[in-house]
Amino acid sequence: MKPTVYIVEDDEANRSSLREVLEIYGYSVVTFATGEDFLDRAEMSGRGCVILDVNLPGASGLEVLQRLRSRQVSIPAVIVSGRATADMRAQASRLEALAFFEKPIDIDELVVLIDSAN
Amino acid sequence: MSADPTEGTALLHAVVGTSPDAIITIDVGGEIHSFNAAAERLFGYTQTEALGQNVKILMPSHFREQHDVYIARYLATGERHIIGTGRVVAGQHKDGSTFPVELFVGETLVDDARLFVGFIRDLSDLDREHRRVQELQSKLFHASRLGEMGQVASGLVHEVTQPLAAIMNYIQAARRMSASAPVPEFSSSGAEVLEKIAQQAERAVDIIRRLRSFLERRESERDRHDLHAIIEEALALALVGPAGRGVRVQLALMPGILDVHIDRVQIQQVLVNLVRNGIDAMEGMPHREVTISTASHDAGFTRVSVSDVGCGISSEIADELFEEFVTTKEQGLGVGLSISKTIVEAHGGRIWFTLNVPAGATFHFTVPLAQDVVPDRGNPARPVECGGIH
Repeated sequence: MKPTVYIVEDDEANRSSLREVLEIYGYSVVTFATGEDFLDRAEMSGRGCVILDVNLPGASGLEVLQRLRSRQVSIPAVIVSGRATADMRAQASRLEALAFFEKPIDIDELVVLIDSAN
Repeated sequence: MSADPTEGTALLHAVVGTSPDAIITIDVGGEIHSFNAAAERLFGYTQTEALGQNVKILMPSHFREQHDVYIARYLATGERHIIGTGRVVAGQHKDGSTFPVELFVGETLVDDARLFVGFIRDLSDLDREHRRVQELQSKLFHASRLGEMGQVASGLVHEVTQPLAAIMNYIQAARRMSASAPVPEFSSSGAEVLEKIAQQAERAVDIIRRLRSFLERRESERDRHDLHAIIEEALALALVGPAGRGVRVQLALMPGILDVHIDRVQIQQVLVNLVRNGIDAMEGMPHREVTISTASHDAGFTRVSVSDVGCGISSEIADELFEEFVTTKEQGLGVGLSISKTIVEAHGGRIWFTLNVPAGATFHFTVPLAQDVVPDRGNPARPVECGGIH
């Protein structure tokens, strides 16, 4: 059984294309358009990984990760951004993100990461 | 003036001697009776050389011939052609060069003798001033255009990245599908076409990546600067041009010099943007006033606020005011505030706005103090009235 991948991404095309490709790789995928929605609704049990876009309406992907960490949720997290800065990278690594990807994501690399973390 | 005539004369001498405009007196025959220091500088003659000479020596040849006629006509008819009004005429330097001057002639009686007093302002200097303003204006325009273009480019990079990322995801999905479940319909030539799509998409990604790293390299040159001097300069720049005419400006700055660690041009761009926005928001209003203030903020930062009495900010646009391509102006790109936000945040500061009662808006931003600066919190901001700028 492959781990569940949670995608938090506001851009619809990115969200559904990422879901589609990861499903082809055999993961079960749950998507969310906002960080708040993910924090409210995601039921994280068992193996999994969360892919967080940084630039979200409302709480940013990094803020979402911060809240997860303060709730003692240690789920592997991958941070993704279309406009990465050094500050974002530093913050992601402080919050123990698995990796930081600039869009477009290298899917092969992402898949290796998800599997190795689970 | 003093009651003591000697003291009065001394004072008069001092006033005439320090006047920035040339002041020359002549009698009805055109003979020079006085020639002040500014006249010496302007025409190149010393006072000693000029006194007793005919004033014609200060004019180019055509007017020299006419001058006696002018005076004679005035004395005969009382018809005023230049007396009491100013005119732009040509002056001639001792070295023969000519230059534009504004001449104002007054008439007076001293010991029953009629004297004419000429006040002469060098217009070539005004031209220089005018050119300097134009130069500053074009520099600012260039800088803000560059900033705008950069912001447009970075917005574009972000917007294009989204669909490109989705395309790359779909390409990967298609690759995976064709590799794991080769079906007759998806022939090898279909796979080839897919690879060509992938190549072109990667090419676009590459262009976007290069553009992104180019935009990130736009370096900022930070140094120690007096914030108040920077505000003063930016204010002058923002008020240049017809829109700035008649706007009253109030400065409520913290006392003394306030050293901050900033990129001067960038922070001036923020200030100019905010002041111009304020002026635009008051367009057509009878009372237009902009206030700029500085105040202590969180440790290590100082706050600058730019306030207007204009139309304020509607709630529909308030949330996305600092986003790119959001504008209320017909002719605007909607990048001014997003550039300002980028600049302020790159300095580690923050930008936000509040609405004024009864009207207008105030934009605030914070900039880092130079390291050893401890702002004096005991002294409240001291309002300074600058008067109208017309």
